[in-house]
Amino acid sequence: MSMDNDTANQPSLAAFDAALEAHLASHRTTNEAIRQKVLKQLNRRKKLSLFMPLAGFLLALLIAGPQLWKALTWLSSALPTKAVTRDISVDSLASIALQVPIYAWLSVGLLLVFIEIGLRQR
Amino acid sequence: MPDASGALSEAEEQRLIQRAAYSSDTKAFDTLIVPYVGQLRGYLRGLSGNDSDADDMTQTTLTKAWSQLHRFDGSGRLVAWLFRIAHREFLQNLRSTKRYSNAMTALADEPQARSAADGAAAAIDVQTILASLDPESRAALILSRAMGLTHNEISQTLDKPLGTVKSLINRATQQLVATHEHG
Repeated sequence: MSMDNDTANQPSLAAFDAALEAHLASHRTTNEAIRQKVLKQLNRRKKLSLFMPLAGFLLALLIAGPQLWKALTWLSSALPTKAVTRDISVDSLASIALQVPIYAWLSVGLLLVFIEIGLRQR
Repeated sequence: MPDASGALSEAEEQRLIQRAAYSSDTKAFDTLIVPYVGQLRGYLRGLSGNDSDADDMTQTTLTKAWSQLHRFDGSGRLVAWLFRIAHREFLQNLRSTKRYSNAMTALADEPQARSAADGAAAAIDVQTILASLDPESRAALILSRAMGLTHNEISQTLDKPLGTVKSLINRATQQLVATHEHG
């Protein structure tokens, strides 16, 4: 019975298949245009994925670099050998000791964020 | 190299997947997708009933495929994996916009003079038939009848059990036969 139904339905199914195929077929130029757009987008993302870590490094350097440099310079001048001969306030030493890790982590964090953004572009 | 029909050999496909996934070779990816762009667009057009939505979703599908290519384990055919991404994209699009119902309404009203390609088949109102099916049945029907996917592949694409897929296809086929007979 089921086979009879299937056989009887064959012509209408074949006609539907042909109609469906024609309906879903897209023109070659449309496919080509989609491919070109995708390729363009991928190339842009690829460039961004290379550029992002570099941008992150530069930004980190720009934001945290001067402060970090200042703190490290100050700290090097306050090494124990010199510190004993200089009048260094405990407050400023504490402030510098706090600044160094903050700026160091800030720059590392920024760099990681930009690397992650770069990887997401991949 | 693709053969005359544009299909790649399995070994060539694997080589291109490796290059695209691990060396970020966009040209390899481009060669890889050539045979499938038309199929994906056709599938998404059949689901959405709209040319511009189909174009957008095809692009998104392909860029997602690029990002996720390293996750393709080669256990099935690449085309089935691409259809899975395309289907998810369609569902996401369906959820995020209300355009779908409008498109389907517009579809039913659209004059049946799509192109000369419809030719002799114009007697069958494919758009109306597709629009009358629910999205899952429509997807199963298109994948089965037009894209040549196996029931197992359709099951993976739609993320549905095999029995459900068979039932969806059977019901959709009966519906389209009934529509054709009454039309």
